[in-house]
Amino acid sequence: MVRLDLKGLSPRDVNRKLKELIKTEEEIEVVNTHSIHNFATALVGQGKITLHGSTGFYTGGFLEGPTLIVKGNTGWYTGDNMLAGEIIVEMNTGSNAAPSMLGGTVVIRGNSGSRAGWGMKGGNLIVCGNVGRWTGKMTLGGRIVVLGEVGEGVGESMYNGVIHVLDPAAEEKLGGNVKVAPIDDKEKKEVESLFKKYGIEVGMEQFRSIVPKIYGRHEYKLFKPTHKKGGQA
Amino acid sequence: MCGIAGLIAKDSSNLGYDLINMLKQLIHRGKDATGVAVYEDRDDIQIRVALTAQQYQKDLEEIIERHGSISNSRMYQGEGIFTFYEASLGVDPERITQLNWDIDTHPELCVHSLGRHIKVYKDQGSAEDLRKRHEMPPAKATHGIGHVRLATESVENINFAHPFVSYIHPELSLVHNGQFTNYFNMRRKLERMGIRFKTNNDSEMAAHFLAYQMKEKGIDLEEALYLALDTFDGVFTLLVSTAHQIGALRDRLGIKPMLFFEKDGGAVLFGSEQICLTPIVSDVYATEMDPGGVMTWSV
Repeated sequence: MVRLDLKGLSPRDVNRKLKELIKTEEEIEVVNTHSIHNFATALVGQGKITLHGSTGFYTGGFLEGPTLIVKGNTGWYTGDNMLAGEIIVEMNTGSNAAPSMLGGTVVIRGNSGSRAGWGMKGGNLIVCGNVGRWTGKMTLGGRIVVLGEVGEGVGESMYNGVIHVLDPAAEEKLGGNVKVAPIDDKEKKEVESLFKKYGIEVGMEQFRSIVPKIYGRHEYKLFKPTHKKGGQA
Repeated sequence: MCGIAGLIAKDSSNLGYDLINMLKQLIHRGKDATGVAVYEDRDDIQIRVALTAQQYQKDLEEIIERHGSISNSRMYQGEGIFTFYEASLGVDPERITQLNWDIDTHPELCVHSLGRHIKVYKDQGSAEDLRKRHEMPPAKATHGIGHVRLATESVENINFAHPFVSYIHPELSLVHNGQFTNYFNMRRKLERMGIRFKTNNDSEMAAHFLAYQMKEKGIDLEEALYLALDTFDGVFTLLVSTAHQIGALRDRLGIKPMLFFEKDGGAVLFGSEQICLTPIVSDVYATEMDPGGVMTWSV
């Protein structure tokens, strides 16, 4: 195990150091994170990195292989374009968690903001808390699991992939081109094994899936903005 | 990019500094200029003006004395070339609008705030620079808004920095994150109504638009914000403050961020990012405002 103190280091220095350390070290403990941006972006290798603190934007973008455990919060675009490996956020994340993710697993133990899993192409995103609006927007593949409440427009314009939800009111918050379907046995088993791996204790009975109405390329209507009050000047 | 912050904290004696601490966390969203508008619990009329050079103090005081009396004036140098002038005025409230415009027509002077309750401190550089250069006399304050600027729309000049005020509604201030794509059309429309502009910044248009709707048309802040939502084009998040209210507006696509958190006991915090709430409340989960949303809080 090696300890890495980020005090006084720029994100570029940190990532350079991490790249060196991951070649030889199995476990890296990171302290004084001070909401660093771009932590472990494009990091390739095998190993476990534990951050004792919160991070800023683009944590673990293009991550390929390592396990990242953040003991605090993360900012926007956590796991952006992630390729393989794991990111486990013990608290909350900002908006756009795991956008365009290609593989690996992101687990958020707290809440996440809007557009979680936006344009995902593969891998798994598990949010134990609530998510904001437009979860899984324009998703091309992969799996999103939300244990808490989902926001408005869930699955807006999905092309492929699946969102498993527990929220009983999910029907009222669907986006365009998606429907609610029962979860099948194969999916149940896959999600169960994920839950087991990350120590999430939730029964599978109440889960439902949100899937596209039409898979692949399709025409979709632009959503209409809602006018609440007022008019033209 | 730009970052905005706001705070409602009844009876705070260091609200201005609290706001600056919040803005300090948003330094990565811009450090061309930083500004705060603080609403104090007092009834006299105070003025804050930026002068391009000290020699224009005479001109400024001459203009003010045409409308009323000056007391407790002070002058100090800002972070850049600008000198700041601050004073309490004995002016008929009816004449504030005229006085504000008389000062603004002088090319070397720019009113940062003029009215009851409101005080706007804005200067070039980061929140740290603002704190270092501008001493905020302790006073009981109720609420305020702040802004860090990354100049994308107009020149890097502190008179073009936020918060913006409007001479039409002396107690209104506004901070904006985003761009108005129909700025020129809106400006022409407002100018035809007789509204005069001091800067070429698109956010000034928003301040005048809202001030005009509220003062001339007599509608309340919430209605004015709904009207703005239908009228403005582009991406924008606005925080608007009057003497007794803070209103927030977010565009329909939700491009620019806006978070808020209501603390027990009536305090409300606003910010572009979660991290800017941490100097006041550590580790809470703030609510993201809905796209196309309008919200108002009474102070």
